[in-house]
Amino acid sequence: MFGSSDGPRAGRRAERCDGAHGGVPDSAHEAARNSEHETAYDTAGDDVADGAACAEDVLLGADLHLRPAGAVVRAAAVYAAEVRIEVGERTASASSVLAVTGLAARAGTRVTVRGRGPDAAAAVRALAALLRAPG
Amino acid sequence: MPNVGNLVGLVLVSHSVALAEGVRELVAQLGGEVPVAVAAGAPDGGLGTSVERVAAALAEADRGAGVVVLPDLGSAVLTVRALLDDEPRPGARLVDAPFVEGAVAAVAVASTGAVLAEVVAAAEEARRVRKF
Repeated sequence: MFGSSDGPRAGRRAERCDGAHGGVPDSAHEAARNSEHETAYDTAGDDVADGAACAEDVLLGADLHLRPAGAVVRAAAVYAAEVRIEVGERTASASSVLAVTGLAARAGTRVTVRGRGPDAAAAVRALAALLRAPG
Repeated sequence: MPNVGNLVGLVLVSHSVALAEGVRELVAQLGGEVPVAVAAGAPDGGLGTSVERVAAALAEADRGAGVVVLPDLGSAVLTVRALLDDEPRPGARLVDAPFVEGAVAAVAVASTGAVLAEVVAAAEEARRVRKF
């Protein structure tokens, strides 16, 4: 049901954020573009025509309660990229504390951190490290 | 768009001291340095709201970047409006949002250094976010 016509990027498979694929130098394009992409976000595919995108899977180090959710929002605010946290079929903006806590995700759950934007690789790495850390 | 100076603050206006203090305790879990002040209870200490307590809380929470004022119920709105009509305060924004979720969203965004308009938007957006 998720069309996979875009070659290796298509589908829900996460592109790693280590620079091997789709990554950009952390600050290279930071100023280039910021807000054009705020609302259009396709969780089913990785159409990166309008900016870099990557994702990383992590096992949550702690339950996603209020305290870690606050840290997630502050970490995401540092980057221009839009970052989302996906748990199964659910997805939350990392900038919305209510959406993040609404995931009701428990420690040990596998989540995908997905970023889109000029500094997506750095943003996803930072958020993934935060979510991986034990509470 | 961080503020160069202080963080936007939050004032919780409630009929009940216990309710407002409970919300303040909850949002403290978010971390950060957001000033949160409580204006709760009637002048005699019972259930109700008081213009004097709102004025004191505004002064406490507004560190220069402005303050979001969150009322629990409609008559708290009247108290805030009565005060702001008498003593207009450009940095104070009365926001129509759920008391718990609005406070959590406002403090989370304020803790990033966001400007007043962004904190107001986050609190108002809480009306639309489903709990599960």
